[in-house]
Amino acid sequence: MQMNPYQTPQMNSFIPQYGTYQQYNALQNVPRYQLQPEIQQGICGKIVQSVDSIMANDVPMNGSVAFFPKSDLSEIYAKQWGADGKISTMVFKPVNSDTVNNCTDDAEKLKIGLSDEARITIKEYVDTLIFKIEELENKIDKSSTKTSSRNKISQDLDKV
Amino acid sequence: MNIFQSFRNPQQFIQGMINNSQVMQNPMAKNAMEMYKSGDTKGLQTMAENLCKERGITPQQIQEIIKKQFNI
Repeated sequence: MQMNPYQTPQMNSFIPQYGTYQQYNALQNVPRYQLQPEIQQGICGKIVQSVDSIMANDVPMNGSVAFFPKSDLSEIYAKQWGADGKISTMVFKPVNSDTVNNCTDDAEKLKIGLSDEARITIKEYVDTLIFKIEELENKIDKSSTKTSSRNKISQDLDKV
Repeated sequence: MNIFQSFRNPQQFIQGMINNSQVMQNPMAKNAMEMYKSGDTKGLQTMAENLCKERGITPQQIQEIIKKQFNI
């Protein structure tokens, strides 16, 4: 029996159709809870060339934050839809860990330097106060001796 | 089909949205619903304008798209 030249393609075309049908059927049989959107685990976002290349559609509208690291890792943008319908953006910039340690050391040095400076200032202030108090004491002493001598003279005059 | 039915009865649609915990977990949707309930049309308009601005389109363009889709 001679085969119809159109028969083979028809048969071949049937197989994928059946396959498609099976796939369709498989989708129909999937329990409903699996089709419901799952709670997203992990971080949302993508690597970008610049902040301008981030589109509004790249930010999920469910309120979660999407992270967009710049390809050269010079910045990371964190974007989130706000309740007012605007996208808020936070920019994270890298800090070298060595620099962080140096910064903390400097901060501590600065702290000590400041306390030394404060101590010197306080000491100077206290010294000035002590000097002024001594001056006042001297003045009081002088005035008291003067008054005592005056009193003596007046007493002598009374006797005469 | 449900979408078209909900458009016929907006009150029912809104109530369904309010009752949907997944929708109400969304801060923007929650804010919109609260503004709707309190009658804050100005706030809703501002939110819509903000959304359009973020997506790089104007409210007029949105109107045109909707009109085209519904053959109005």
